[in-house]
Amino acid sequence: MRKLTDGSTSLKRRRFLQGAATTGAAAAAGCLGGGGGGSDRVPMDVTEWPPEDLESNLNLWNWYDSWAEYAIDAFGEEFDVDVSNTGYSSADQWYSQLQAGNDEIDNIAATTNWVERSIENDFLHELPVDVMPAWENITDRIKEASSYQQDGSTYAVPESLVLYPLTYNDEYFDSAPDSWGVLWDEEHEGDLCMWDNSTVSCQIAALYTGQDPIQPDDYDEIEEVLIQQKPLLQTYWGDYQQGMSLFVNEDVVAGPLTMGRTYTARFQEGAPVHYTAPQEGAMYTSDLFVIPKGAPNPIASLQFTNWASETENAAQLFETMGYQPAVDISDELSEEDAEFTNWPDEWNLVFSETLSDEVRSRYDEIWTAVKAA
Amino acid sequence: MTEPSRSDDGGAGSGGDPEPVTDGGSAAVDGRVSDLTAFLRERPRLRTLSIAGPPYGILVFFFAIPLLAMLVVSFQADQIGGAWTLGNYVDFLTSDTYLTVVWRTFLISVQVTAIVAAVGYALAYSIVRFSRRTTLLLLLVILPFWTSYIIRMYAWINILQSDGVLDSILNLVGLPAVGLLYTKTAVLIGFTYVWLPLAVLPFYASLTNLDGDLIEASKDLGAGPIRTFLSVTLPMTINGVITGIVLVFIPTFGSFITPRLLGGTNNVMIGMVIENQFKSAFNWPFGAAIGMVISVVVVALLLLATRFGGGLFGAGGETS
Amino acid sequence: MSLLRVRGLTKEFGDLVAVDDVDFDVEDGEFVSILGPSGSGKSTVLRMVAGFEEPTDGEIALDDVEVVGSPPFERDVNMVFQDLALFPHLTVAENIGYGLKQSGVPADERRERTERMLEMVRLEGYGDRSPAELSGGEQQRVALARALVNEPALVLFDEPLSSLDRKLRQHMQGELQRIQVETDTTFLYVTHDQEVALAVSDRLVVLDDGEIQQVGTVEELYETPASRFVADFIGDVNAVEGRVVAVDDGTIGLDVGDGEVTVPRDAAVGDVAVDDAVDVCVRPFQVRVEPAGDDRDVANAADGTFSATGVVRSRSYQGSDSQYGIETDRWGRLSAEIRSASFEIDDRVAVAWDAADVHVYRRDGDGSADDDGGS
Repeated sequence: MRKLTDGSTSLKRRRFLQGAATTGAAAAAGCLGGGGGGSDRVPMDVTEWPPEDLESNLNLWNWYDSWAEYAIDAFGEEFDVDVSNTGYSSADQWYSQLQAGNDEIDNIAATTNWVERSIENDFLHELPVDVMPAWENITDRIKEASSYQQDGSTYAVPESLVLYPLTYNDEYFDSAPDSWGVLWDEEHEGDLCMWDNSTVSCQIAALYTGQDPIQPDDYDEIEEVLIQQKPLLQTYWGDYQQGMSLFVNEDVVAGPLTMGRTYTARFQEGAPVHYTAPQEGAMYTSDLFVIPKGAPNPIASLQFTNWASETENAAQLFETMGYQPAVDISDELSEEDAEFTNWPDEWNLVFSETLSDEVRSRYDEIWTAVKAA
Repeated sequence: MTEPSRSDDGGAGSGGDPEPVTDGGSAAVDGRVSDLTAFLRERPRLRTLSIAGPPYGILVFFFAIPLLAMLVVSFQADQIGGAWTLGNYVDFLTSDTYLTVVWRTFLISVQVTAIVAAVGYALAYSIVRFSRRTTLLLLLVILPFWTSYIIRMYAWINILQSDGVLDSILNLVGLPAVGLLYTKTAVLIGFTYVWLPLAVLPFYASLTNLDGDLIEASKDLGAGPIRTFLSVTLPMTINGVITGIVLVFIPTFGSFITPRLLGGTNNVMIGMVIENQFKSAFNWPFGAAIGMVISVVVVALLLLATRFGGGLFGAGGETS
Repeated sequence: MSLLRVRGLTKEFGDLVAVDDVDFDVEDGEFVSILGPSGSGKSTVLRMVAGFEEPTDGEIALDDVEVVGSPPFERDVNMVFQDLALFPHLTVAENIGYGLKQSGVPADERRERTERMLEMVRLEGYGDRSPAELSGGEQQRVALARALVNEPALVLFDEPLSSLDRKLRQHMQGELQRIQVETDTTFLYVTHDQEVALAVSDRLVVLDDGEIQQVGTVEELYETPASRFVADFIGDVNAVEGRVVAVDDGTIGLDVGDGEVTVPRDAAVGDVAVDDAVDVCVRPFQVRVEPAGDDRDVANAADGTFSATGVVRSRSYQGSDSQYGIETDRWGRLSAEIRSASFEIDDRVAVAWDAADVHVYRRDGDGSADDDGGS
């Protein structure tokens, strides 16, 4: 029997529909898999640190694979907890489980927009961040930007900062390109790429045309410039590995890529690449730790959330994968790495707020139209 | 939008892993099997149910319920649980953009199916007629299935990219490089490669059942190789051909990985649009509506093709 | 000029020589059978004539035109296959009209000629059926009609009747002969069944182990078989082992156990010399059977008769004749085919036959068999 923390019948019915809609198999796993898995305690019961009586298991859903491997060993050893991790590629994989009634997942690394949806649907436990010592390590920039609070309650702890920068070949360019316009420059025809992602691409176009990427006022212009751009591109990349390969093989000299992939390309593949935020601005968001309702091991999950935000452990996120943790780790890094992770103050970073349904669907239409053009 | 640690294989839609759910041990039944069979023997309806039940159960559980759920969702506004609406269908069916994509997807699928059918038939035919090592050759045909779809696509990226394997070979024999990656040709090559086994196997099965005497009889009666192929070999194997075509056409129509990885900027297919609704546009109802329309279109096309095939080549043909 | 002329035809499959230097002719309007046990190479010969196999060596001329190397669909020859090979996806009429369609005969004419063929094989009104709906005999007729409708110079048959029961087979034999005469077509028929071959053929080509044993009319083969094999294969034969003791101008003396018998010189097929081991063969219908006397059980050289006493072991009625199996004291089991006389099992009888009716063959394994088997 799984515990339904929320009891309204209409919600249950909706949940059932949603669950069925997601996948029959997931629903079945949700109904048959458990049997008294949930603990009686919830994270808000913890009023003093450290929490006592951790459960002996912890099931993570964290897509920072290499970091999760580190965490399985390090956290497991320190707290004598048996940790497992499910890597995933797309948030709907875990979200559908929450919809079907979670009784398996203890801790998720979730993107901001999915955190918001989960909060709206009451899928998450509130967290006692005031008693968590590592809460103080989270940088103010991300604390202020992320939307993980509702009605004075906190539902998530930021894990990482995710930047959508302009990645470029630093041998080809003498200095970092200072404008997204480089992606529309005929001089680089055939050596450019875009990301096959409606939001990322449309927001780049919005920034390029001087519009608000969260609430643009001229969709036609966005579509127009993206269509204009097409002949200059080698391809739209749809898979991170593919995107990185384009730069590593020097098939392209500029285009959007993630910071982590840029890091891997530069330091592990030895490619001459770097990233920048053009003067029009660059979007960034965060991934956050959340504890979904129905988690069988909520207290261990809470301890884990705190542990992950300790400077040493957060630094591993960068060391293993090249992503910027939500914690200031500059003291832990080599000079070279510190330089790489440093986001100059003059960068114009725009927090990627969750788009309204209307903007998102317009972006999606535009992107489909661009690709079909 | 961060790091995908793994990716799904091709085919429209995706979802969580359907883990097999076992229902506890059944050790207690040990000595009672004969009792059970006797019990069932006396109850023919129950026996029929116990035999026919599981397959139907599987069909309902894995196909009917998800499809029904998708149908329900497709009539909701904006998000799951939203108000009832026809808007998703209206938006899709009145948009030039989406219809253009569907038309393009159809063209690509037809091309892919035609190429795969031709190459696959030739391959199956030569395996059946001219080779003694059929098992080995069939094994080679199926072999790629042991490797992940995505890895195989990366292999093709390496082969097709400018200065990749293909270009190097061309250079070696003194031909100019072609740099096929990110072109439609690359998409066609990738599809042909991944779907070939799906066509070869049914083609092979129907060709091995073909009585060689019929071919000789046709030639004996004055038909050359081409006439014989068209009037005997093809009609006699038409069921296998249609099976192969169906198996290739459907997944091609729903594909999103191959065109995305190999296709560059001008090869958007409807599967990519659907995937996008689920994974980044967060508009599941709209994705579900597109999925429903596409399902209906594909099924209709296939019914049409089957009928057309049947009418064209006569009454299918009983073997033996 | 022969319609079909085969010379030096040889086919090797790897080390196996399936057909070895075969010569024969088929004249226009003839019904010729190639008769041989399974594995004798007869079907391979047929397939080479049809064009499905390329000869390793030799010539095949059809109407005086060399056809080796030309594909089956260019040869003016049609075949009735062993398993008939009717097209299951076509109707009876479409099956029959298939060849006409290939040669571009217009639809009207095609329909008319198909109708005529259906009449010829007595299947009027069956045109729209599927072959699977027909009985075995009806399918045979369709296969025959399909081959004949193209009016080929030569129709080949690859044992098509072997799957039918005896009665139907006999009926179809009659039909084949009738149709052959009516259509004035030349038939080349391959079979291992000597009964069929004897019943329908004008001439026979006997094949064994890839080599021709004898070519001739049914009477020639039956009455003067060129080898022990042919004698055995064409009808039943009794064989008595013997040894040559004397060779004269006109006669040969044979030791056949207890006594010596003199037979005409021309009873021996090929050369024989003194001391050769031989088989002395006689047809069952030439064996006389009488109730046993007291002292007539000695072969008598003087009156040119073979005789022995024995006991009736089996008998079977075959219409007006009876076939007796007789265990002789001297030569083991013999069979006799006689009319009217009635003996019972275990009766003691005397058997005898005339020296003029025997054929004498040198035994195989005793040096070379006669090389000039072809007559």
